[in-house]
Amino acid sequence: MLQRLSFYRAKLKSKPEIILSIIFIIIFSLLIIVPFIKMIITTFTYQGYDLRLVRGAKKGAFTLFHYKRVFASDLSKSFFITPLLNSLKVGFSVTTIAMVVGSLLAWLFVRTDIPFKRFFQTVIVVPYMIPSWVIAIAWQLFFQNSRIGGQSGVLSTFFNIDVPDWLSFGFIPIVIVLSLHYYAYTFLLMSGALQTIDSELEEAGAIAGLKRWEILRKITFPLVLPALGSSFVLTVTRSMGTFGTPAFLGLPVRFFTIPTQIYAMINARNMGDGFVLALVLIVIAATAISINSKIIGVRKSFVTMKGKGFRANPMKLGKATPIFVGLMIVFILITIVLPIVMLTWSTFMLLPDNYSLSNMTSHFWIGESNAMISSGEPGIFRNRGILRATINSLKLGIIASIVNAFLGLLIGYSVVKNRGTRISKLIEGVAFAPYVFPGIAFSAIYLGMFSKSFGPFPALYGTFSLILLIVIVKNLPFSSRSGIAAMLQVDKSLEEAAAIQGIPWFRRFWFIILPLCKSGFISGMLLTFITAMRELSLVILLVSPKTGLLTTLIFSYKTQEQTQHVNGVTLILLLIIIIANVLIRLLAKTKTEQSISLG
Amino acid sequence: MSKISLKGITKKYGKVAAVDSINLDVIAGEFLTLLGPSGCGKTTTLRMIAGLEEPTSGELSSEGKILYSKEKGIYIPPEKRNLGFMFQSYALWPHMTVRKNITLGLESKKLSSSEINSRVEDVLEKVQLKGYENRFPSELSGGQQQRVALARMIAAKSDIFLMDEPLSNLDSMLRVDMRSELKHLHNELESTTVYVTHDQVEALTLSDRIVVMNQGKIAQIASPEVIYKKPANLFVAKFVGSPAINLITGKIERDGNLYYLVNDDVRIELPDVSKLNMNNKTLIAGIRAEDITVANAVEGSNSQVFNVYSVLPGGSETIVTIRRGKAELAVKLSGFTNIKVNDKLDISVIPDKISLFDADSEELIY
Repeated sequence: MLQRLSFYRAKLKSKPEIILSIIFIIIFSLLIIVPFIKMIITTFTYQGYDLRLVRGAKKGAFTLFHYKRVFASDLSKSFFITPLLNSLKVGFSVTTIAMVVGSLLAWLFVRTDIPFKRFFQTVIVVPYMIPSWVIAIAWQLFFQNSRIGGQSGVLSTFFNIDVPDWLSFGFIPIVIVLSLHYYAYTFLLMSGALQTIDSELEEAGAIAGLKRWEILRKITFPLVLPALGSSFVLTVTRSMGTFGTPAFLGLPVRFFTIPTQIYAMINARNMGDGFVLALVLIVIAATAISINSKIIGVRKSFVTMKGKGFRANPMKLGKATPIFVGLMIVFILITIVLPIVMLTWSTFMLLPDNYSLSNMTSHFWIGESNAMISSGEPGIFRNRGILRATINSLKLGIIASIVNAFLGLLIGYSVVKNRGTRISKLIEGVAFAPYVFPGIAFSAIYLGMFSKSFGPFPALYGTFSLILLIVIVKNLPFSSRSGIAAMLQVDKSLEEAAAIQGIPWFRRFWFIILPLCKSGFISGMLLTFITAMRELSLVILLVSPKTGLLTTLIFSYKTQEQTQHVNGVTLILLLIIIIANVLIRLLAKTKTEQSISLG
Repeated sequence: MSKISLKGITKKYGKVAAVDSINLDVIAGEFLTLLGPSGCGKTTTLRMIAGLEEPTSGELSSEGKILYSKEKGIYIPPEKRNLGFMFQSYALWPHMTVRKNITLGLESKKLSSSEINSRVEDVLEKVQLKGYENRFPSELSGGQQQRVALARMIAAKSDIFLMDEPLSNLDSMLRVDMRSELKHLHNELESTTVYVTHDQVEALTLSDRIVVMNQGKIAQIASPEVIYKKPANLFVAKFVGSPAINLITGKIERDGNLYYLVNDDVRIELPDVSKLNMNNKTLIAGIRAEDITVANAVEGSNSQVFNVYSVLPGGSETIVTIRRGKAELAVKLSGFTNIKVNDKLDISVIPDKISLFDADSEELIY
C-alpha cells in the first residue's frame, strides 16, 4: 500500500501535466460548472421575486413555474417569442451582410492586385478591435430624431431631414451597426483561408476544362468552406448574444433581443425567468457550434493545408482599380473616419444639437464642474470618476491579459501533453464552455455565488477581484484556444530532451516552452486586453462606483443622456485600445488577426 | 551485471500491445541496435528505457538498480535516470545558441562555471564544432545540428546513450560519414549505446549486437554476422539484407547421399540434412544474392536454365534478376557485367550457405 503510494507520488511529481489537469478540473468545476448548475437550479426553483406572484410559494422549492411562464403563458410573447424572433432576425441578417461584405473584402485583398493593401488591411480590422456599440453611439449622432428621447442627430439638425423612426432606432440600425462590426470576423477568417489556397489548384481546374464559375463552385468554395462555417457560427452566436448595441439602439423603442430581455429581467431581480432565457441562448450557441464542428470537423485539415510556398497569382483589376480604391476609401470614411470625427466634434459642442461654431466649447474636456451644464459633471480631464474608471479598466486589462495568457498556455500544455485522453478532452471542452454563456446571466450568477465566501474564495461582492475573476473566466475559451494552438507548434521532443538532461519542470517551462510560445502568448495577451477593455454586459451588474470601468461609465452617462461625456469617454477607450494594439504589434510583430479563432 | 535490463516489459495502447513482454539485457560498453520496421515497438522500447514512456507492466533496471517496477512501487523519472538521449529530430532548442543548448542541462546540475566551460570546450572539440558556440540551430546545416545534439548528449557525461534514429534526417552521403563518427565516439567514450533504426545497413555496420523486433516482440538477438548469415526466422531473413534474400519453397528429395529442394521449377542441392526428420515437410530455402554464381547455360545440358529478367548495375555491384517458371532469384555480381536481358543462365549455390526454414513455423531449422 505504502509502495503504491510512493509510486504514484513519484509518478505525479514527474508528470506536471497530470497535476495541472487536476488543478484545472477543480478550478473549472468551481468557476464554470458550479455556476452553470446553479443557473439551472435557479430556473427550477422559486426565487424571491416570485413570492409575491405565486401564493404560498416557498423560496427554493422545486417548480416549473419559470418554464411555464416563459414558454407557455400570456407573457410568453413579450418574454420569449418576440425577443427570440428579434434575436434570430438580427443574428441572421447581420450574419448574411457581414459574411458577404467580409468575403468580398477578403477576396479583394488576397486575390487581386489592389494597391495600398497593407494600409487598407490594417484599417478595415479596426471595427473588430473597438466595441460594436461605439458605432451605435456614432449612429445616433447622425440618425437620432427628436421624437424619441434626447437630442436630434446631424441629419435632422443640419440637413433638416425628418429621420423616420425605423432609421434612428430598432431593427434596421442594429443590423447595420452590428454588420459594420462583425464583417471583420469573416474578413479575417476568409483571408486566412484564401491565403492557404494554392492558385495552382484553381489553375489545374482551368486546365481540366472547368469554367470559371465551376472552378469557384467546385474547387475554391469547398476549400474555404471550413472558414465560412466558422465565420457563420462565430457571427451568428456573437451577434445574437451581444448586449451593448441592442441596448443603445433597441431599448428606447422597446425593441428587445434575448440579451436585453435577460438584462431587463435580471435588473428587476427576476432571476428565474432571466436564466431560462439565458439557457435558450446557450442551447442555440451550443447547437450552432456542434453542428459546425460536425460538418466541418472532418475537413478542417484543409484550412491549415500548406502554409507557405505556393504561387499566388493575383487577378489584375486594371482599369477598375480606381473604382475599387474609391469604394474602399468611401467605405473607410463612412465606417471609421466619420464616426470618430463626429464623436470628437460632439464633445466640443455645448448644446448637443447645435452645430454652429459659436456653440463650440472645451468645457467637456477641461471645464470645472458647473451646475448649469450636464448636472455639474466636471470636464473629462478634471473628472475623478473618469480617471478612476480609466485606471480600473487599465488594471483589469493588464492583469487579466497576463493571467489569461499564462492560464491559456498552461491549459494548452495539459491538453496537448495529455492528448488522446478523456481528461484532455474534458479540460478543452470545459475551458471553452464560457463562450456560450451570455455575459449578463453569467455575472448574475457570480453576483449571487460570491456574495458570501465560496470554496477557497472569500466573499468578493462589490470588489474589483470579482470583476477580474469573471473577465478571466469569460476569456478562457480564447486564451485556451490560443494556448493549445501555441503548444501544438512545440515539438514534444524539445521538452523531453530537457527532461532527459535532468532539467526540472519549472525550468523547462520557463526556459523552453514559454520562449517558444512567445508569439502565441503575446497575441493571446492582446486579445484578452482588448476584450477586457470593451467588456460591458459581463461587468455591468458587478461594478460599484469605486470599481467602475470605462465601459460601465459610458453606459451610465448614456442612461443619463450626457452625450458629450459618453462620446469623450468613448474616445479615451478607443485611444487606449488602439495604442495597446500598436504597442504590442511593435513589440511582438504579431497581429490581432492571428488570435481570432473559434474551433 | 547488465548495464540495462528489461524483464517482461510490456506497453499496451488500449488492447494492442506495442511492446509485448520483452526481456533484454544490455551489456556494459556494447553498441546494441533495435532494428525493425516502423510500428514494431523499437522506439517505444527505447523511450521506456529513457522514462519518456511508461511501461504497462514489467521491470526495468540499470546495474541492478530498479528504474521502473509497478509491482515494487518504484518509478524513477527521466530527469533522474542520468541517461543521454538523441532524438530523431535532434530536439535542439531553436531559441538558444549552440552553447546554451549544451549548458542548460549542466546548469541544472549545479556544476561550477569553470567545469561547464571546460566541458563545452571539450565536447565541441570532439564533434568538431569549435567556433560555432554562438550560432543558433537554424544557422547550422543538418549535419552540424546533428553534431550539436551529439555534443549536448556527451556533455552530460552519462555512460548510457540512447539514440532514436539519429541519422534518418541526414542525406545519404552525410549519413555514411556520421556512422563512422558515431562508431569512433562509441569506442572512445566506452559508453553503452542503445540505438534504434529501421535501416538494416546502419544496424549491421554499427552494432555489436542487433535486436530484430517484429510486432512488439523480439525476433532475434545476435551479432550482425549471425543475423545476416543465420537469421533465426523468415522475418529476420526477409528484413535484413539488400537485395532481399531469395526464398524458394519446396520439398526435400534424397538422391543417394545428396539432398535436394525441389519444386515445379527448380531443384537445388542442399547441405547434409540427414539428421533432420523432414519427411515430406514443406521447407523454405533462403539464399543470399551473393551466394549464387551464374554461368552461361550450355545448350543441351540437363542444367536448369534461367532467363535474365533485368540487369541493375550499381557501380560496385550489379543485381541480376533471373526467372525460371514462377521462381525468381536475385543474384549479386561484383562490378559490372556483360549479361543482358533474356540471356540464358545456369546457376550454382554452395549448399552450406543455404538457410532452411520450416514453412509452417517459419523458424530456422538448418
